[in-house]
Amino acid sequence: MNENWIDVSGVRTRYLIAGDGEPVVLIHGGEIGAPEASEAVWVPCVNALARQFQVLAFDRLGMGGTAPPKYDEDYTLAASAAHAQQLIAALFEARAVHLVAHGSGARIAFEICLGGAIRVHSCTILNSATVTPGVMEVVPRPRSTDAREPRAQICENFRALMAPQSRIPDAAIEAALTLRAVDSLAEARRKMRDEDLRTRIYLKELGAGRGALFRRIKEQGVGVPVLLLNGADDPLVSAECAALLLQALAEKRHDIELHLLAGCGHYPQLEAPETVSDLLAAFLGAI
Amino acid sequence: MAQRTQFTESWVGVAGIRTRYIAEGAGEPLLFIHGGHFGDMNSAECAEVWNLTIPDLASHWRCVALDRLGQGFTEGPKDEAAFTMAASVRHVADFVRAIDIAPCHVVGHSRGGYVAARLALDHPALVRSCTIVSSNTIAPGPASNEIVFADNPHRPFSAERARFVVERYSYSIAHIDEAWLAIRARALQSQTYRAAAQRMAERALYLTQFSPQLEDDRHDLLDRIARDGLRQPTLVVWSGNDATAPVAVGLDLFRRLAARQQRTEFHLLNATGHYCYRERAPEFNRTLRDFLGRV
Repeated sequence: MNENWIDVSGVRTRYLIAGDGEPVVLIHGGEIGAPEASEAVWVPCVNALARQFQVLAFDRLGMGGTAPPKYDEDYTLAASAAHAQQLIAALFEARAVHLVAHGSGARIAFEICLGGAIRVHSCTILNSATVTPGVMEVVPRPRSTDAREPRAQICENFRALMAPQSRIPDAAIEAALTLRAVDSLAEARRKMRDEDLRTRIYLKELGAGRGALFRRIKEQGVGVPVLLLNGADDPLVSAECAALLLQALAEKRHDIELHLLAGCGHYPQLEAPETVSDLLAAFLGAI
Repeated sequence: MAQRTQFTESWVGVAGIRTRYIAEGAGEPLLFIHGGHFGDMNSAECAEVWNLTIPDLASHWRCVALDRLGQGFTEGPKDEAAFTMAASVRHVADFVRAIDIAPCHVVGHSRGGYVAARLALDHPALVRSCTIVSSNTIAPGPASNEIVFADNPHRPFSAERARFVVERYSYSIAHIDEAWLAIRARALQSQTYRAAAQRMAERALYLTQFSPQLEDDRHDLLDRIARDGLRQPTLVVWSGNDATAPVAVGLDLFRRLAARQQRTEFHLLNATGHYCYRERAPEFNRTLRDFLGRV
């Protein structure tokens, strides 16, 4: 798979695209500046899905290879959603897409579903604390990324959220190591931490945006079938919280599902990529 | 909804019990185990409850669904001492051997989920994988069935009483087909079913024997799940709107199984009552196919 680049309203954006068929957009999670957060978390699933679908994986605003926001006030999930929406519109034009989102990427997926500008077939959410009721207090704390032993630091960051017996794929570690050395990402990380954009802007908008999101989900429903696919041993998102989200989505829809995998933590797509690819292909294929 | 309710019916002697089953398809054997228990005057379960699952799964698996001991059109226990859940489990184990389908994938609903888990634990050589569907019987905690169905206005053994039970169990009545209800009513009113029910009622066997023994057996089952777990990959499927089996109960069961068996999965469907494999048949069938394909 080749890296591709596109200009999205002045933001240089990195993406991968593979396969033929209905478009499937993979939206990673994580926070702005974090080297573990990029399209690389999807690599184990892309090949499997590309046999049936046209798969897009991209780096969100201020993450991976994609440039950071130009203005401080855009260090938000709302700005990240707007960026993602413009990218999808540019690449797929009027085609309807399946959205598959992990962690904070779920907010982006729901914004796109509710926004109406992009036609959406279905939405799959993997382990998202960001859009799950009741877990605000355990939104991941920023972990240091500037220790002297970067590889150990990256492994520790993954390890903290995975099931004890899970293996971190080497490719995910290598990708994070490479991204850690990218200047623009280090600068975004510095601003999040040292200028406290994380608290002042990012988390503030996350909390307010989540309330507004739940209100819209209750009022209008999300508009598409939803699969919640969760590793059951995630320190951030409990099975009960995922069941609460299912309930909220179910108020307006009869086609919501939750699937839990034992022995997986916060990154099911890295911890059990074959099973996750199977489940995704079966769910998307049936829509 | 037009449904297919006609299947090739077969009979086999299982330790002296004339046992009815339906079967279709080719491939690894897949055994469906319905819920309920003998002696219930409100409603009778039988193999055809799986009529929306079997035609879909038969393309890849040899699907078999039996009428359990004293249920559907299968004979009841010969001895009074066998009016127990343990005897019903033994009957299914003997059935698997009698028609020579071991090791098979088992899928059990409601009380049949208890049977499936018990087979997996006590007869591991018979079971390849275990799927438990909306089963309050195996899950920890109390059962609310008697209260949920307390206001059934119809007389015992009547088709109306049985229809009320199915409707009360359901989120939407769209899955309820007249031909299916007719088979259930025929089972409820059959000579063999009523004979077992009468015998159970006369001696108050539900209260004095069936229920207390099941309670003991269930504690034993949960202890053994906590200690050893199931050897087989396990799928728990639950309904979002089942008054008799709340979601929290299903999650608790999943956790207990997952603690000892990493190959455990859980699937929750919304907008469905007790019969999630009927009310959300396409999604249930897809989830089961996908799971079986993986194990």
